[in-house]
Amino acid sequence: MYRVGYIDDEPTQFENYKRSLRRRCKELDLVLIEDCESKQDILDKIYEKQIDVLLIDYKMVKNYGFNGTTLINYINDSMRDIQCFIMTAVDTEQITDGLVADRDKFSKNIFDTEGADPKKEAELNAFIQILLESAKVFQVRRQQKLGRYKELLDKKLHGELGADEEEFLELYKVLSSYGLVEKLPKNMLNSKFEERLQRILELGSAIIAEHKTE
Amino acid sequence: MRKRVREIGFDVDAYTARLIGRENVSKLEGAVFEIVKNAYDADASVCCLYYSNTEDRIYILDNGWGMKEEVLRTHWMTIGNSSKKSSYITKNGRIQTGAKGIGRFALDRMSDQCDMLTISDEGSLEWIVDWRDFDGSKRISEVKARVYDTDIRLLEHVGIESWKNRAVAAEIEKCNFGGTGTAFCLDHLHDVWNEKTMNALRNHLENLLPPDVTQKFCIWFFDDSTSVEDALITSANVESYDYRIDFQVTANLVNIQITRNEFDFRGEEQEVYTEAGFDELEQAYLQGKKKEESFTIEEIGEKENFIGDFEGVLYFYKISANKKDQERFYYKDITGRANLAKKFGGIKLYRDQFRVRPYGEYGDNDFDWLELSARRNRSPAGLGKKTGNWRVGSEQMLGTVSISRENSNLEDAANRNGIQEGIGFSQLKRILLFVIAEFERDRQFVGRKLARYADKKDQLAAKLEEIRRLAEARKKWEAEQSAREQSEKTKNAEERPSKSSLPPSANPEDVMNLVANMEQKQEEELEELRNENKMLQTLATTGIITNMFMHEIRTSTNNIGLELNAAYEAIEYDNDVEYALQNILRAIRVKKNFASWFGITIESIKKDKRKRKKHNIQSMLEQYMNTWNDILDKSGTNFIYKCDSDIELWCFEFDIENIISNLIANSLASFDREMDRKLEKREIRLNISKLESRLSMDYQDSGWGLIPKYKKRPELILEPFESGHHFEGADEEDGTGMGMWIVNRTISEYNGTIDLSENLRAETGFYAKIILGGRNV
Repeated sequence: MYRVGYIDDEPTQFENYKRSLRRRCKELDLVLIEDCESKQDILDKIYEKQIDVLLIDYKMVKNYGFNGTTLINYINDSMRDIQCFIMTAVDTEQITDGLVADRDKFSKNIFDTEGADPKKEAELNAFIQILLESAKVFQVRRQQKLGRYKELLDKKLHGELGADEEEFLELYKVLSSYGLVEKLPKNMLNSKFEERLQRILELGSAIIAEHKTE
Repeated sequence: MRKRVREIGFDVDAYTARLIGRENVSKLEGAVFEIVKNAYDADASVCCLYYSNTEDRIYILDNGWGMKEEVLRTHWMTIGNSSKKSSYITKNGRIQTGAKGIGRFALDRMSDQCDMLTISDEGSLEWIVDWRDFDGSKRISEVKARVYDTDIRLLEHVGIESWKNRAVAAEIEKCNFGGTGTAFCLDHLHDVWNEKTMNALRNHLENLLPPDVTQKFCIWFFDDSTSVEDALITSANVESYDYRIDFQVTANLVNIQITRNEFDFRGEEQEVYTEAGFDELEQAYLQGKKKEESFTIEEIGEKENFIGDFEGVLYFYKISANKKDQERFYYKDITGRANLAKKFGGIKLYRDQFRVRPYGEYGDNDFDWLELSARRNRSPAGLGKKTGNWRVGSEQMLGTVSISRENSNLEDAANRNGIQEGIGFSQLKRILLFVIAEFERDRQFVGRKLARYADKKDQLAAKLEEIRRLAEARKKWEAEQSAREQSEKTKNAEERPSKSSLPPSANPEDVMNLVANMEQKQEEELEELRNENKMLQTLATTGIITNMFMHEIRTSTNNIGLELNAAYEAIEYDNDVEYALQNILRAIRVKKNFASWFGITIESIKKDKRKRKKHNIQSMLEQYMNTWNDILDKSGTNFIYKCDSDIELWCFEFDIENIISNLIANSLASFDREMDRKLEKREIRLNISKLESRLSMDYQDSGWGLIPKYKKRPELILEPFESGHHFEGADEEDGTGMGMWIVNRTISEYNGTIDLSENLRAETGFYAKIILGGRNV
């Protein structure tokens, strides 16, 4: 089962979409991402709910302060491989901020098959196939990244990680959230730089404390 | 299994190479341009082009650095390889403009045979090519040019002693052609070099370089009969002008200096200054002081400077003015002015002192590359018009814009015809239009004042004329009366005075009736026009509001469809009647929302709103405000509205509604603007009160406020086609730019004012104080 995340500041149609998807494709489950205040909250929820592909409403300024295209930009900064689609009530051509490619924009009307109209049904099914394929691609990519993660973990354990620290942490975050690797103890995740900084700060605090007592 | 490795190089058919060259240099003007440019890039101070009519041959020579054999081999003979790609600043500091390595095809464009002599500090080389060798099926590497070492000089090579035009030849001999340089003899020409060709090329060469460059680089262009004066090309220049606008874009700043040179008050300066209301600073500007303005890139509506520094100078140059306007606006005499745009071109673009064709080229599609004509058609208001913007015509605006190779996002198009379209070029155009708009604003500011002054004078003059006419008639009547009295005395007659003894006048009752009828007719016609105008304004407002709520309207429509479809599927596939009923109920709820939208849009053009009558404002607006309240409430906006109960206004209902609708539409657009944080609250306050005998409307919202483009000068939003809803850098423009213009027009019809000054002080939010007054209240 693949999990399709749905983000909308007014998700009045969520249940209708969910049922529509389930009727046509048993492998997809629509999951509502809700109770978020910021872009980071949303990102955390995506990890938490182990989402494989995302449907995001375009106009969300009223309740979130940002639009769907800005959010996709933010999500893809952290999760490069997850495919995000914009859903909009307005014409897709009207979204011209250049943050999302036209092929990734769809009208919310795509779920309205007008009482099993064959043309509309065909359009919806084609869209569902895209969702399914995107979700599968994301899963395969995660699997592929496992190899790289193991290689970096090995380096880490031998204290040879160096400049790859950031990549390691990023991979760990995604893979551990999706349950593909075991959680590591917190002290293993601190970079050496942070460790050193922490030591210096502690040293500084000790000196200040000593001066105060004098 | 692989065996016997071989490497095979790519090659190109010679004819194809020639075709590529021709594609890039397709016109004769373009070919001449390339040749002169090569001379300039070689640091030459003179470039000479001579067409010998008797020999049907062209001689070209320059005194640049010439080419060494290595350059000749690796750059000149290698198509597409330019020595100017990597290092483009010459020994003398000129920035070279070519870089594609195809300029030499210009020679192919002009003739079949080319004999070139090039002298560098390493010696002289003669290079001969017959471009016809490129025809047939040879490969490019099989086409050969012959190169000889030689010891002849440039002037010898071109055989200057035998030139038929002796006068110009004598001048050329005086130029510095004794050292390095390059000379071409071109035979078997492809074009007919008649007078028409020569004139077109001369005009082209006159515009090739900006005026200040010709001191360092001069061009001679002549045939057998050209005089010395005509042979030396002088850059087209603008000597007389009405306005001069200098501008410089430096990093984040746009500096503009405007010089007025259009007005001549014919000795009435003091009277005009006082009566028309020009303050001291304005007077100084009218006397030639430069008006300096400075804006940040954000203030002109741009996100950032994508192209880098550039500058330019533009001239406003009227070609004609009728006598009435000349007197009304105190124009300087422009009798005999020629259409300079034909000779000089329009707004021309220069890259590192060299013309970028075809922008501003008279007769070319890109003459009006800033689309000034279309802009003027959209806003055809006259200079003195109280509302509406005067816009300059494309043939009235001349000038030069100087960019450099060092500017980013302004690359040459591959076919050497202009600049590549993209964010840089779009921004360049937008900045130029902003500079032009600043000039237009200044000119219209002066024009409006002068028009008001002229109207005032006209009314007085008409009254004076009428009094003078009556006084003369009266004088005549008195003289006749006195003569008659004298005559009557002598006759001692007892007759009754005749009708002719009355003062000369028409039957006052008839005159009054006539005037009243005329006035009534005129008033009726005016009223009809006003109604028509108002109807159009209301329809425009309806369009604006509909556009504003398009997202919500579409969402509601979609949702009804989705709910009904979900109900259908629930029954059809799941037999879930309960869920289907819920869907249907939700669809009904959404449908109800539509009634509110119709209340604001369709209802606004109802017939009874199009009649002017005395209204009590509070009761007039009650229903309308309730509808807005309903809509705003649904969109999460708190609407706080207050209105005094005792305001009576003689007005059209939809006028007042138009003002309010447009203000609210703007507020909602502001609420929906994406910023770096969430808007704290969505609130609109409208307070309508009585202010002495006038009506006062205090409007404010809690939105993000005006965008930087309008922050410093909020009054700009009152001009037509000004839209703040676009994202800078992209082409999107979802605002119509008409809303606040309609507000302003309506206010002005009610002799009112709008004060936006609070927006200068407030960091966020939008503020407007509107007063409607005068005879309508």
